Amino acid sequence: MVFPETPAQRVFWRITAWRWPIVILCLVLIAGTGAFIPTLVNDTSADGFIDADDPALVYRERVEEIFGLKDPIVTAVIASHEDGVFDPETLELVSWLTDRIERLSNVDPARVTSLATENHVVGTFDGMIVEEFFERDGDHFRAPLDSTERGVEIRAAIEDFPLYQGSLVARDGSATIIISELIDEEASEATYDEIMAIVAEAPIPGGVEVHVAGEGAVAGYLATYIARDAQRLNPIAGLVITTVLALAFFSLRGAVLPNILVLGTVAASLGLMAASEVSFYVITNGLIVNLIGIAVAGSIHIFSQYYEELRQRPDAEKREIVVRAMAGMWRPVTLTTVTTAAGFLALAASAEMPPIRYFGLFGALGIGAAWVYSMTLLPAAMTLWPRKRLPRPFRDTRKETATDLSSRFMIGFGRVVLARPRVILGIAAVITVAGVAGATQIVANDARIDNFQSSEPLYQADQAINRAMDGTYYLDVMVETADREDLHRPENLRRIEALQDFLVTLPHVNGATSVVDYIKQMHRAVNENRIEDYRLPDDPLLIAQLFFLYNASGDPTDFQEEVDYNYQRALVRANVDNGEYLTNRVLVPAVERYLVEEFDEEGITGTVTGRVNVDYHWINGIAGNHAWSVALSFGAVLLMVVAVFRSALGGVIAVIPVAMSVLLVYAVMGYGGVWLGVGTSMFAAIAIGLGVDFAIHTVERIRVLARQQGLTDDVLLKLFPSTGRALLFNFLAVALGFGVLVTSDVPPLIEFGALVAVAVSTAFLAAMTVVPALIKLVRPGFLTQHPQEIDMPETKRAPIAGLGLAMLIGTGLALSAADAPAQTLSGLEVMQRVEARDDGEHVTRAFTLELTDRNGSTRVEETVGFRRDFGDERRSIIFYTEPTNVRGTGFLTFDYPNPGVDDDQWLYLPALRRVRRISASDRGDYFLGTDFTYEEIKQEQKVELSDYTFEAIGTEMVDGVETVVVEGIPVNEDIADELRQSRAVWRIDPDIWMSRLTDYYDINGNHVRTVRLERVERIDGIDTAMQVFVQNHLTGHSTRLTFADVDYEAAVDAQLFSQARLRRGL
Amino acid sequence: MQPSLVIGGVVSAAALLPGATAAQGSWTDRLDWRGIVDIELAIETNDRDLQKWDFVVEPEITADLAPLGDLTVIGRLRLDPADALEPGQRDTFDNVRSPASRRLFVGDAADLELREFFLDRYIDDIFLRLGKQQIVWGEADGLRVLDIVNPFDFREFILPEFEDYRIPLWTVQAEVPIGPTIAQFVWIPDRTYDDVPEADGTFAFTSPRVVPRPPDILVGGGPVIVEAPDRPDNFITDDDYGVRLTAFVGGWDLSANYLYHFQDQSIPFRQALPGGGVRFTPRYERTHTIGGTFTNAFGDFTIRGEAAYSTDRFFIDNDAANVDGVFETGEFGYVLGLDYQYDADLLISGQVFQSIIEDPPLGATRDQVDTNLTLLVEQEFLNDTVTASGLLIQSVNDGDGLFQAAVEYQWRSNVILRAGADIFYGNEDGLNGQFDAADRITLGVEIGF
Repeated sequence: MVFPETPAQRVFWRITAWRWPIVILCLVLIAGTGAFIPTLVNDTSADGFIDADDPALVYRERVEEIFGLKDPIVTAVIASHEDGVFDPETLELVSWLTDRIERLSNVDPARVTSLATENHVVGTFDGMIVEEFFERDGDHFRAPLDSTERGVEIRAAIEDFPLYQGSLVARDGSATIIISELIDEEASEATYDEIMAIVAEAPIPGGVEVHVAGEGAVAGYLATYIARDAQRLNPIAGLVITTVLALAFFSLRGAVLPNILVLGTVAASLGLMAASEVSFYVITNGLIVNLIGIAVAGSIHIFSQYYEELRQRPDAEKREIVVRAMAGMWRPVTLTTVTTAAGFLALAASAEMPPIRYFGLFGALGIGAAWVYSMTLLPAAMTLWPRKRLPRPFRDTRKETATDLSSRFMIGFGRVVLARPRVILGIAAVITVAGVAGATQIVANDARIDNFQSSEPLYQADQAINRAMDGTYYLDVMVETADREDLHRPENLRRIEALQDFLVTLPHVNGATSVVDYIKQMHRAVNENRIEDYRLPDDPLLIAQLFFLYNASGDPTDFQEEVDYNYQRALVRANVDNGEYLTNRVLVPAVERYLVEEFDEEGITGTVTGRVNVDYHWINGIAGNHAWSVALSFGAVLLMVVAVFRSALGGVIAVIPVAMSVLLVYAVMGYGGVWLGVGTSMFAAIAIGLGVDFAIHTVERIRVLARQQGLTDDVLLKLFPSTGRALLFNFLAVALGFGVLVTSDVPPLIEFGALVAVAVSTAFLAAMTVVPALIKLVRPGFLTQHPQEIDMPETKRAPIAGLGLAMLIGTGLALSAADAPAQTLSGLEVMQRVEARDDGEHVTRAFTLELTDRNGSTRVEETVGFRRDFGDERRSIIFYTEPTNVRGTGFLTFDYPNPGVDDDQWLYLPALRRVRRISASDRGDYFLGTDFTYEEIKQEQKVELSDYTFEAIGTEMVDGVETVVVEGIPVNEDIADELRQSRAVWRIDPDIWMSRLTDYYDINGNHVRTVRLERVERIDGIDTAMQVFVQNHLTGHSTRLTFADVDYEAAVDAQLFSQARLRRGL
Repeated sequence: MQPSLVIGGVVSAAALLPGATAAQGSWTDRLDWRGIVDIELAIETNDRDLQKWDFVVEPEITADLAPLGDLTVIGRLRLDPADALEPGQRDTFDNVRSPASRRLFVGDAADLELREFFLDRYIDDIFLRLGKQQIVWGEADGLRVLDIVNPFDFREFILPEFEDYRIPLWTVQAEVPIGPTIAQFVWIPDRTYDDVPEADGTFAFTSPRVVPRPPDILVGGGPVIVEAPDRPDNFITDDDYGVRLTAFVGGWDLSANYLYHFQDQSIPFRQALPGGGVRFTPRYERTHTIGGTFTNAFGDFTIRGEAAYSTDRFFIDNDAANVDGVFETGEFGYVLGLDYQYDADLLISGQVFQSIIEDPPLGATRDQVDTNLTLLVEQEFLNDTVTASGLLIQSVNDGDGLFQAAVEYQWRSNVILRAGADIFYGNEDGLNGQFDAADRITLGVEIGF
């Protein structure tokens, strides 16, 4: 067995063999997926939150089509002085603003509503006249336009026309609005900007404020608002995470490579979103930060493992370290990927709102991409990284002693936890109870305007307008009748009137308008403006005539927002002064109930619609959805963990921290008055997916440790400086990554980020406290049992074990008949077998020397060598072929069987063109600048038996092989001096009789070198060391000797071993 | 006859000999090329003048020309903008080299040279190396007792690496194993001799040991004419021939050497001109050199020795009474060396070199016994990536000497950085002391490709 020995190592060995293609392919993939990102379309509209097929939305769109309604931008003029908006300057401003807004290309001039466009309906001696409020030299409005008198006239007219009160002009006259509907709602952002520009230029008199709000404005501004937020947040998140990485690893590699992973993950997620033509919603912003944190978490564990491996094997090749790290971490990283993805997918599956569904779906895709890049790009890039430096936090020769602050902190923390497990569990119980209580306090609520900070002009405009006016949130009811002109029928109109009356009784509904108001106004007008005639006529013919009369002097399209052309369908609009779900939740069901009760006759129906209804429906799902997504996520994660640990108890232990974290967040929300809204509803599923990672890493680590060393406090304590430290930085990266959302300008994101940060922090703390405490007290069996012992009933286990034992004994007996097991041999007997190993009478081979200094600078020398036995004498010759500077250098050795006789050695130096006789080096001298001694080069994995006294001191697993550990002590001081050794420890693989791992100690007892057999192949029937690595612990220098083209069969000419040949070269 | 043509003929003949195997693989598999770029800067310590700014490219091609053999070609392109070592273009004196071994000068600062070009071929146990090559005899470092097969290029005196200041020659070499010994036969039809800088070069010789000083009595206000060297030019009869036997016996490396050759230093035969003035006509003289070497290692010590006797050596005699201003003598030279290797990284090597001639005449510019000592200390650090060395060459007779200190750092597999100092000192009439003004520090980088 040689490295790579396990299937996982072999996989990553293969992956790292393809490192360049992988890196290039991944970079191409990143660029390829990233290339789609510019095509992402922002969708900040409220409708984006609801499924396009949702009946509420479909119906509303139909209504909008019928009545030509579009989401308007509302410009409010609010005057604080006594005359309100009726003073000449303010009216002039309304006129000026209306005029300018009408000229905007995306504004339909026919659908701009303001005092400057609307008509008054007033009776005259011979009928009624319909006249604009701003009519110059009108019949009704006679005062000059700019005069105070016209203001008085208009005020009187408005007071005389209830339809406009609260909807067009504030009931107290302090405000009026200009409602502008957009031709293209997609371009609302530009239109909002244009209107804001107009307002900025407007001649605003003292005491007057102009605000711009409305659904169109919200949608328009939100896009800019989010883009700005994203531009700011993402670099901060990147910076925060890079800082965490830098602190964790003190290494450029540790800071740079995870960022490339982040790039790949985000590119994959958003690129696929763009490619799938999914829009970028408000909450998608949070996805980026989310992915950054997740992508980095895996890297942190892999890097931690990498540096752990490097610390334990400072002599190993970088690629091997990478492979070992990956082989060690792929499992937990994959598990956490699967569980996190399960959390996201559960969110996607349970969500009704497309933005959340896509958040879950593309989040899971991004997590998948992060995993793929972690398993391919990361090891490939780590292998290619030019250096192999052990950063400060990991630099420590004493393996179990932590030196850096974070490790020391984690150890201290661990001691506290393990000392008081019951206290820990007590605290956990209290938090759980508090969480359950808190959860009952949670309020499901949301309001689109709350996407903005309260300091934003739009938010303030919304508040101001809704305070002054009846409300800019519309709850509409479409009344449909069976036939044309059914709405001339008084009984139908009365129903509408009653509906309006009902609507204004509802909370936050300050007014309701419909065509009925016009009819009443017209009826009054034709009845000499008598206030008592402000009522519906009883005669349908009269009603028809009223409309006819109106059309005679007014514009027939004036009613198009209230009634259709055939007088068959009417729209009743209630003005609601806030957009909160809590309000909608009362209004919509109430109206629905009313309609069921009152519009239950054939021939007339009423249906609730409008923005309020749509908002109600999409937010209404949140609470139910939330419960469902939490349950689903929890279930998915629990199933995963149970499957992973093959233990129900293991699954429960792993999900406890995450359950606690979710409950704690509920407590925070419940007691802190945080709404369960669009943003916050997502936290639980994601927090479950993310939070369970900590517990999985913890349990997995404890399991690995416990299986090796038993389940003791000491073993549990080992968790803290290693995995605990990695989890600490994992937690910091994720928590701070989400924490960055707190600096967002989008309040739901702030809440979402803060909640996830709290959840992750809790999950981390619980994983580091509750899990070890619980394990200490419960001592679950799955941690110490080997996999085959688990899930197998005792009744089955016993016969199998018996059979296995019998086979083992039988095999052992059979083997002992042929050859005593290595474990029973003495040290000398083992080494005699090593010495007796066949290594061929002659051999031809090429070998490469890779010499690496402590700074990672590597020289590579290539040689071709020949060896041949001449009786007991062994001769070898080596020719250097690379690099050019030393090409031609040759080394010839005659090795005599009598250890007392020095070898004869010659060196050919091309610069001298002369063969130089050199004194036989001390056997302990280093061979030509390598870290191998002359003795090792000569012995080729054998040992001169007369040099040492040997003792077998046990067995040890090396690279998955059980080896016999033999200690050798030089027989006397002279030998010790010559070999420069006081002790050598070999781990002899009894299958090949070679040492897989050898440690040498110098005269002073210092551990000076470690020689590792990295690769063995059987060639021409001879076990051959193909790769040997030696690390000098004192100098930091290392040498890797790799053989190739080994041939024991090709004849080796005796004449080759001569000075003449040395001079002539190959 | 051109030596290259001779060798070419031999190569062709070799191709017909048995033992060749057919070529295998494509030509790209059989062709291998590499090279070295060497940039070295030398600054004189006295006046801080730039002494040298060498850009040297040495491409090397090896080709498997089976069945012909293996061909090695090494070229050298050298550009030295400082142009102080060999100012201007070489003219008359360049005829110390045979036309086939001359350099091609490109302007004042650049020259191209085919350094080596040889074909290796085995015929059974017999090894043939045919072509332009270096052959090194002897065990001594930097001292010329038996290392006399190839002439030297003294452009930088003896400061460069040995392989760089030997002039490779068109040679037919055959090595024939005879029992436990190997006999090396050498035929050198390339009549090329030591290349000494012209009078304006930094390392132009001035020492009376090698540069005659015509007695005033002969010059008497007349001209001193120095003729171009008279280079032997007869094919076969003027060629050098040698044989060396080497053996490894009882732990001893032994060799016996014989070379029938022209002494590589020209001998300035003097002729008094009628009416005053002298004419120097440098000539090359044949000699037989016979000698041997030994070396063995004992523990950390290696002893090395070589000795040779040359039958016909000529040295300068400035005595006016000497008709041709030179005297002929036999010369016995030997070197004894002791190397001490400690810990594989430290080498201390000392050598004693003595040259003994017959009783010299009064006007001789050298003593009967000429003694030089050398001491080399070389220490390797950091897994042999850094080598620091100091070499002292001390003339006992003249009291002059040369101290060379150098640090080499193998920065990358194929990049070596160098810094060094070459300090001449002592009697300016001495072979080393004559360059007292040429002390220098050097910086260099060598890049293999």
